Amino acid sequence: MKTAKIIQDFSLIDEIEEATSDFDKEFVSRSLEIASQIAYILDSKSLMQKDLAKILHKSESEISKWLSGFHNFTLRTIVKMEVLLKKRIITTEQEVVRELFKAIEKFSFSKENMNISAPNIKQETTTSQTGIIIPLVPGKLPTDAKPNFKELNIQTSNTVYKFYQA
Amino acid sequence: MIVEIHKIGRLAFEKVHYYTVLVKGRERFEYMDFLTRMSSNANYKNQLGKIQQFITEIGTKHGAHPAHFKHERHAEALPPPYFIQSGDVNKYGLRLYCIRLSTNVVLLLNGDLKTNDNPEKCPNCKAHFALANKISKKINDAILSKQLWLNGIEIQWDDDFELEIN
Repeated sequence: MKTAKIIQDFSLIDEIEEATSDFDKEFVSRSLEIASQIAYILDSKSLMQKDLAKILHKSESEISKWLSGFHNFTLRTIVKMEVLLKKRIITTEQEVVRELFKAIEKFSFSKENMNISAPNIKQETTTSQTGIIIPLVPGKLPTDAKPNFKELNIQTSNTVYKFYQA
Repeated sequence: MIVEIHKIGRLAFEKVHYYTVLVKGRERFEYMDFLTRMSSNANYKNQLGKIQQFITEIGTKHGAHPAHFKHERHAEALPPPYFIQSGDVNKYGLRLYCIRLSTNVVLLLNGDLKTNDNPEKCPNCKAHFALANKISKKINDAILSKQLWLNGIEIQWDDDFELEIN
């Protein structure tokens, strides 16, 4: 049985990557991410590309191009798909954090309520009876935290949120 | 002519391992030849950078799903030769012919600036398109006859198997 030999020297790839602008790299990355998310939603709803084409009154080849990962989507197109598919395609970090807080409030903890704060998010105070998880500046415990708090790190694309659970 | 399959160590990512081929008697690996020729033309650098970024993105994050590639013909009969769209409107753009063997294994071959809708009528692309088709057919035959197989991210073949194309 034979396997492929490995080519180690392909320095030209490095040169091409270095010569590519950050904008072009990020455009490809984000476009692929959106295309991948649409494909995921279609799959989760057992829909095919042709179904999406029908819903949007587009040709199947156009939808195929959209999902290839190089399409320059407009916000209007994305929102139209979100409405018709009843699923979010793009979610901002602040939306993720808000959803996270809502989910956290459903958990039960023994400590009393405490403030919740996070960068770029309006400070909120939980009034639920469920208690306490506190997102903080990385690495800092709340001044009134007990030393035996468990630490939970949640990494979003831009920030690490540290939560402390009694 | 005899064709050797080699793995590109620089492009062995978590989701996809990329391979290329060396046609015996030729100086360069096919993908190396594509990069060398296209990077020497300043007009192509932008598209080339995007294609390379695309390859990296699906390799690191998404996997080589069919939706990320397009095939031109023989889709039902053979593992087809795929190309990556440039995304530029009203221009054919660069074409890189590939063979997607699975979500984790892709052979990157050769290509050029496409100048005709039909790759067989494009003076730049027809030879690369033909080579991709021939290799694709041979690999498909070899898989069916169990002389060549995929073991996860590895392409393996019998000791006495040679990829020979006319």
